[in-house]
Amino acid sequence: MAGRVQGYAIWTGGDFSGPAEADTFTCSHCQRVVFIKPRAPASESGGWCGRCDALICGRCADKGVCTPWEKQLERIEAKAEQDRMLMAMGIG
Amino acid sequence: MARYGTDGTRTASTTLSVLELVADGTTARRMSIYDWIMGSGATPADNAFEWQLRRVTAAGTPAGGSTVNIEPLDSADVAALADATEGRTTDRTIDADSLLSIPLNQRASFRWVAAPGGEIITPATVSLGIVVMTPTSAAVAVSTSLHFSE
Repeated sequence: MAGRVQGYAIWTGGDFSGPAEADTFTCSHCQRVVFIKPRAPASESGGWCGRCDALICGRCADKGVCTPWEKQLERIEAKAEQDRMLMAMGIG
Repeated sequence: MARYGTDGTRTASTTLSVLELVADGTTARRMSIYDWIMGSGATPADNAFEWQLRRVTAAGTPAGGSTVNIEPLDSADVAALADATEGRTTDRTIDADSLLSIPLNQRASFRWVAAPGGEIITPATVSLGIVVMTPTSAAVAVSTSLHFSE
């Protein structure tokens, strides 16, 4: 998992005797940030999508379908552009 | 892509956002959020907080709040197109699910930094973006900062 670390989190203050730290990754499907359990296989923090070859969170692993966030972004942006054009034409 | 920073402060609310960062209402660009810091500047106390980073999924009918400055980290860069607002009285349409949820003692602070490739990316769609929420909170002053590239 070490090679797939995509983020770092640190807590300071409160009840901690010192800073607490954790590595994170960002789900390639929904972009949820997941904390990595040290030395644990990918399945314990989420899963691995073989289609987009990236780490995913547990919820996306359970869905069992590959929907990369980049594709979802394109869909959202295309729909917004379509809605904008329809409004400009006085439709909808 | 230039990098920018913004921050917001408010009396924490369990239902209203601390900081809203959305694409411009005219010229929308994707944002990559890579750094999030939060804490409380109030008198230290043992209150339970939960901080959440959530998506804005529709423009909605927001109300209230104050526009906050977005500063380029390199002063030679152009001004950001995105809009940031703190202390809304009515939020935009927000996803019920969070991208990152952090339980935190009021005395503590938290920081998340994304490595390249791990950023949270928002669509280039007018008025969509990210909000910082405190669904579990005490009514004390809280602050949060976001760094992003656009």
